[in-house]
Amino acid sequence: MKLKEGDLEFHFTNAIDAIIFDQMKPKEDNFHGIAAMHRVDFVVELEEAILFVEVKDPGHPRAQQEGLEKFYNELVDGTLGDTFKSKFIDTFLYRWAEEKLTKPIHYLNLVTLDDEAQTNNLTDEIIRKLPPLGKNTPRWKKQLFENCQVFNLEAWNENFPKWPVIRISSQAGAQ
Amino acid sequence: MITKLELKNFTTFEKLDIDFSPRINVIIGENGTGKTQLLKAAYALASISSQNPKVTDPKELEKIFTDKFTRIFMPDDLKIGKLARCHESLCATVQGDFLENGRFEKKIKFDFSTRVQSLKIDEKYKSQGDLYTMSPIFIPTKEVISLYRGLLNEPSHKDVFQNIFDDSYFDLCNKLSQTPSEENEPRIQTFLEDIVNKIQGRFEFEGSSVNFNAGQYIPYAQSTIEKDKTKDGKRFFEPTPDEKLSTHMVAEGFRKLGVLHRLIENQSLVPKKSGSLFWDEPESNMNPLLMRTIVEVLLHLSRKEQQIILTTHDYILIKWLHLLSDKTDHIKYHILYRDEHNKIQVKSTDNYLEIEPNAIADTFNYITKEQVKLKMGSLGK
Repeated sequence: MKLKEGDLEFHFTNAIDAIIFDQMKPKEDNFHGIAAMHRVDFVVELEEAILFVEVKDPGHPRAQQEGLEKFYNELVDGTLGDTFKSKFIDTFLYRWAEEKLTKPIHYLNLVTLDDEAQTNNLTDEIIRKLPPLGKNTPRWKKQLFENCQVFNLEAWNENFPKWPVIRISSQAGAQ
Repeated sequence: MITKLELKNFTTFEKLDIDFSPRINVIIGENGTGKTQLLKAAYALASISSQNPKVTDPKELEKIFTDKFTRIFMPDDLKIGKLARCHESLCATVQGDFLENGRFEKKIKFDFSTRVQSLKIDEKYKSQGDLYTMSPIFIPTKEVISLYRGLLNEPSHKDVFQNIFDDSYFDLCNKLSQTPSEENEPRIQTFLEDIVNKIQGRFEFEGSSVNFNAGQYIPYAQSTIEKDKTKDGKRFFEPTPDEKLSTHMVAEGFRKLGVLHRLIENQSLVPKKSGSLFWDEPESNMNPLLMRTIVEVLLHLSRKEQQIILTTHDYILIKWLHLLSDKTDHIKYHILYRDEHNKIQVKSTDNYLEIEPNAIADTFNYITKEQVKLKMGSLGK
């Protein structure tokens, strides 16, 4: 199943279902309908797990200076980490209400930075911000997610050969 | 400065040639690829000449070379033959090309073997006594300020210390003991004061002892009196009352910064006058927050034509170098790695992004992969 976000195309080759969760066009399938809730880009159902997938593309070849400045400012001041947190929590609630949370969840984020030190750092920041906020939770019987991690394009493709991502503009240019 | 180092059948290296930048050189590579050995070989060559000027007697020269290399590398039984990789006569070669004051080319070369304690110094070097006189500095991984008194002033225990510490520690203590001869230039003085403020005090060397005087540099109050106007914009050291500490009571990272401070303060490290600065893993025991200060000082020194050669495993150090350098800076990265035959090779590049293989970046990549493996098993594979 193929899903597009801007200039990036994902192919979830072993998915049972894969939807654009951030669908805000009323006439399209899977219309979300609550603009005030944060939303991840895709929700993917696999045989044994569910993926929440969020994409940020500062490495877009036609990224505008203004947008890049905003992205990096938000990366530095923690706003980006807050956004990733909110997207997960609101998506979790929405899918819970839909009774769709029947399998372990993996929160996978593709952020097209070159530097893997930065993506590792962002991973830690998002995990710190998500419940249980780094605290011990002896009363909890479940955890919100199995894995929460940020990848750059290269690391994503290296780690998930069954879910390859291509940059559409570079493919078009190659033809 | 050293422009080139050639090693053949020496310790880990079968054959290795490395061309150095006249400014900043960063040697990276996994453990066991010989970073420190390379640094020590270059340092030993440079320091032999500068510590023993005008020696031409062959026997004496051979002794000087043997002693320095064995004291720096500390091989078993202190036999120089243990630093060679093969058993033929004169199989190991160490050769360095140096520039004296940026002009005169000097070549220092010697060969030796494992079998006998034989050592042969390049004939030209021997006959001309053509020595390189710019005294290099080597900062080893362990900090030395807390060892200073013992290494420098305890002759009765010298044998014990020499069994524990290689010569680079003794050499550095000697550098630290030198007394400042003149005032430092204003820009350098500002860096020195910044270091003091970062480590919240300064190390004060008096004879054989060294103490840490807590305090900081603060600006002079603005003066309306004409003769005091010279102080405007300057700072003075204000000690914290009753806060003279033993060096052992001060954080190890602060002691390492204290070494850099002292070397600059007492003019052991002066661009164009002193030899190369060799620094083995500046990051060891260092709070990462202090790394920016170190990189700023190193960049400043290199802009004044100081050659710097350092080894590192540290992402933060390299990232600060990358971020704070400009087009006029010259930073050369030397990557040591094992090839498919398990031989140590070197690749050099001016561009951090071209570093390949990059042991530091590979570590982040490894962490990414391990998290996926531990948390997701074979999902997506």
